[in-house]
Amino acid sequence: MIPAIEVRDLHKSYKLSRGLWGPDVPVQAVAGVSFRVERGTVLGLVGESGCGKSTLARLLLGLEPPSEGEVLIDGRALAAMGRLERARKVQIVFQDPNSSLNPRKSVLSILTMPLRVHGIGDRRERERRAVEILDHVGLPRRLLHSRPSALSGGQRQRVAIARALIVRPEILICDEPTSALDVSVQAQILNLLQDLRAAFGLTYILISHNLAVIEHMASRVAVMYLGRLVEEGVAASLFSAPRHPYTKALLESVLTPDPGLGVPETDLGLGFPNPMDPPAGCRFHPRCPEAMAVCSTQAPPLVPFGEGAVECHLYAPEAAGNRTTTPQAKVHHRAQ
Amino acid sequence: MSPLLEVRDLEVEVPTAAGLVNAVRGVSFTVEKGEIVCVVGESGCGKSLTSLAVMGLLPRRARRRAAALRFAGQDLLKASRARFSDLRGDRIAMIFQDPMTSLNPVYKIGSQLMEVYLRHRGGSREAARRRAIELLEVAGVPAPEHRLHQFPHQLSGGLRQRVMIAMALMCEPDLLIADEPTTALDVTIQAQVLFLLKRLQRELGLAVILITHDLGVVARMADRVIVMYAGEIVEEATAEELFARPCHPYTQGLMRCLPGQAVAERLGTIAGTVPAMIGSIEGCGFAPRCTYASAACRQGRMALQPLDPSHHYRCLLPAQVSLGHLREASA
Repeated sequence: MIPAIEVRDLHKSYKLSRGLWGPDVPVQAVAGVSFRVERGTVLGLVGESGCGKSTLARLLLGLEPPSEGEVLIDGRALAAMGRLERARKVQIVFQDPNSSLNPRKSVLSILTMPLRVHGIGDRRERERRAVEILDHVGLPRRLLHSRPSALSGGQRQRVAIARALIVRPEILICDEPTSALDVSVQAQILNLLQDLRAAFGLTYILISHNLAVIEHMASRVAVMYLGRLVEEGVAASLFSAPRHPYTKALLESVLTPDPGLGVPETDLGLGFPNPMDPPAGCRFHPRCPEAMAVCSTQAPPLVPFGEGAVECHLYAPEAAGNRTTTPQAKVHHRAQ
Repeated sequence: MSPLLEVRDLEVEVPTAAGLVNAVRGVSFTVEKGEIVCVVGESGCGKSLTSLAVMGLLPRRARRRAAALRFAGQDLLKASRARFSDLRGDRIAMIFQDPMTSLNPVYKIGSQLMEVYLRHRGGSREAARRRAIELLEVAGVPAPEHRLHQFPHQLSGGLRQRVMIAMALMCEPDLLIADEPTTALDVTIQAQVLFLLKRLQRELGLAVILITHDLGVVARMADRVIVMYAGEIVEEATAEELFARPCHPYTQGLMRCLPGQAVAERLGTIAGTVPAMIGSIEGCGFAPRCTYASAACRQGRMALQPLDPSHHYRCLLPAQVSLGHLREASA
């Protein structure tokens, strides 16, 4: 079966200006990423800020051309599609509905804008579609003529979702869709996203730093670190048996609501990576509690594991002999 | 011994174009030395205004009334502006959610840190500089001497939040008020920052009021938890107690909203929205959204009732009944 999204060895580097006289410095935001997302599934994308998640989202939307590699949507190259065609395939919902909705327009005008851009229907038809999508996202019709400022945060995010879905895309990228919302509203939006996925047969890429949200929503999870996917796999197995030391640290840092467990001390250290000068060998090695000599010199191999893969020297067949610690030695909180 | 901070019957009213908003309605609580108290609630529940009232930083048009507002034996109700500004940054410090809005973008980190110290402690610039470096180290900022010469925009989000913490601790305050200090941070950085706060509590006897809507943070950090809704405290208990036996329907609702407990199921939600709090609210503020609400809930003022001496909740339901419902809902 042709996957909804296929990404092959995607690279994106930017040139960072160092002022008038300094040479431009290249920054590799995405450094060789490959994955597939099957139709109707949810890929959760996690990683720290600055790891390249949002750049990856921009590449998938076709907002920017990749430096190398390609994105295939339904087996067709994204680069070969026109702007409107791309927009009908892939849409995005951003974190902050306050800044992604025009405060001077009514909900109706916000919702029908994409239809006008795509030349879909006449005025009547566009209004009908706006009302229909409003019903789908669970907003009362009386809000049609309200401005975003009259809506609550959760309602605004529903409008943002409705606007993304009104052109009936196949793929929806959700970039931190609930991070700006209260817990009870977050739960409503996540339920809505689940319902809409079933109703429209959507494929999601869900970017979030909230691992509980990812665990709840995603079928597969990809962990990103400094422009690389360091681990990818089926959500349930990745959460129950993380392999990459970075994935383990991420999961250890999650604060589940268990009083008495205290705050975990991660061994990550503060060696915050500089994307302009990524470390040689494995990009994670300066912060890795399990780093070996080979990690600072050689790029780690991609080791397949069941239905997933991990990019780490610890799991390379030849490294099995000279390990100092076993990868499973550390127990994280979820396992208790 | 009297508590470090005592707030009794605090009311905050904010006049707006739509009418008088009763943002904080009769809030009473105490904070002991070296205690971490978490305040939980949705946006608009009055949790931030409560802390601003303690700091004497309420918006100019807001009106504050209280039966008592005491900090370390001093009566803050009678304190002048000048007295408040002597206390702030010295004995009481505050860190906010977004460090970028509280750090001045046009001054270097060093001079901002040193200013706090010079303002309250005086002394030489050199002493202030040494103190700044020391505190940046405590807060886990790598290469502190180098950071003094950097501007806020040159630091990552995690580092900026650490700089904020260092700045808050410059004068070894007795009380730190942290308003969503880690909400904007990555999980790994969040864990590191919270670990740091815990360590400071242990080592310096720092008392912390931690305002958050993240129940995971609450569970791991709090000695005691205050749940606020519509300007009132609806439940107060130790962290263990609250998570083991949430009594108020709102607290129970919050706990059902948490993802990650029952994977792949629908999350529980709380129907309806937070009330506008304009004019006086008759009865329980949560009644319009509450599944168990009866006619009695819509009249008068609910009293805080004790489940045991350290656990109070503001609801007419007997605790056993509401607990039974929770078990049903989660079964």
